[in-house]
Amino acid sequence: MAKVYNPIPGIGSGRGRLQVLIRSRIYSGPDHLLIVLSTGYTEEYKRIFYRDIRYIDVRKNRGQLWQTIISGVIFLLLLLIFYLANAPTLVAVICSLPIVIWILVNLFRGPTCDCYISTNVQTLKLPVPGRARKVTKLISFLRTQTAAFESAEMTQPVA
Amino acid sequence: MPSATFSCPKCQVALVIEPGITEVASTCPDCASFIEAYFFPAFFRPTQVGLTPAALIDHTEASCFYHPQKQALQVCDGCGRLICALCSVDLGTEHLCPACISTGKKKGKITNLEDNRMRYDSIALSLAVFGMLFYILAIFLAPAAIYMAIRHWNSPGSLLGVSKTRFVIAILIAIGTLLFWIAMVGVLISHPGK
Repeated sequence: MAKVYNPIPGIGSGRGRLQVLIRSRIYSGPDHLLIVLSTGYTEEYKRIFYRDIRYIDVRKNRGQLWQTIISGVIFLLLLLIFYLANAPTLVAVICSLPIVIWILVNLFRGPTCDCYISTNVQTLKLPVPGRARKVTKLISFLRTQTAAFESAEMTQPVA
Repeated sequence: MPSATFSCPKCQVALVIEPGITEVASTCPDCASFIEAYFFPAFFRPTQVGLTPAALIDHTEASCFYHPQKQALQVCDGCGRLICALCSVDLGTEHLCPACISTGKKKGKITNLEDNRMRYDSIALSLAVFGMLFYILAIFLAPAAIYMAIRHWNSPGSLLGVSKTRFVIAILIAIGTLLFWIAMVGVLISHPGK
């Protein structure tokens, strides 16, 4: 049996953000987006029908900046500890390499943002994507979906 | 197509968006905060006003099953009954009558109305794993895991896809734990004091 819900092309379902034991993910359905809030033992669903989407409001935030600053501070502290402890260079490099990779990946993924989706009855903060680059992909995906529904409604015979 | 208004997320001032504009990336004229918004066709669509069912003019017209004095507008996609504008509920691409909505929700037949589901497979697996980790409790947790797996084998699982893998793993772990528990008790009984 074909799966009804699939990850959105280009952005996936996203691992979502873990907020006090609740993980949120996003999937595309046949005629709606499905937002899943999962505790592991229960799942709560929110549906947003493609034809009801009015606008998406993207608000850039300072998540990337703070992540970089915190990672940088940890990196510098590690270097300081290794310097004071006279640790071998190889050990210092191996231990600090993951943080450097994390900083580079964070910079490469682009700025973070909050993404709000609005219909006539609600405005909902989308759990994913948290990066501006992926929001662009989500918007182009939604434009394709809404255009398909619009054209289907236009060609529908009058009863 | 008429223009529509968009409220600045920060200061809530109404900004007029002309038809055809698909995105805005500029500063708010009132609070100067940066606005980035992407508009979809529904944004410019006028808000639909609820339809009022029209009264029957003569008896040759089809009437609503629930309101015999009102003109039928649609056929219910669930039961096939003729329904008026008041009774027709749009659910995605379907038009359903209130009775079908009610029974569909009660019986869980309309997936689009479900807003939560229990993950019995995860519960069974957790019980089995906890039983394995906290061995002293295995005598309670392992049978509970097996019961949960068998009792809810056919219960609807996650909307994202139903797989029995967790149930199977839970049963295997629970049986393994129970066998180990029984073997340990057997050893203790047959070699007391050792």
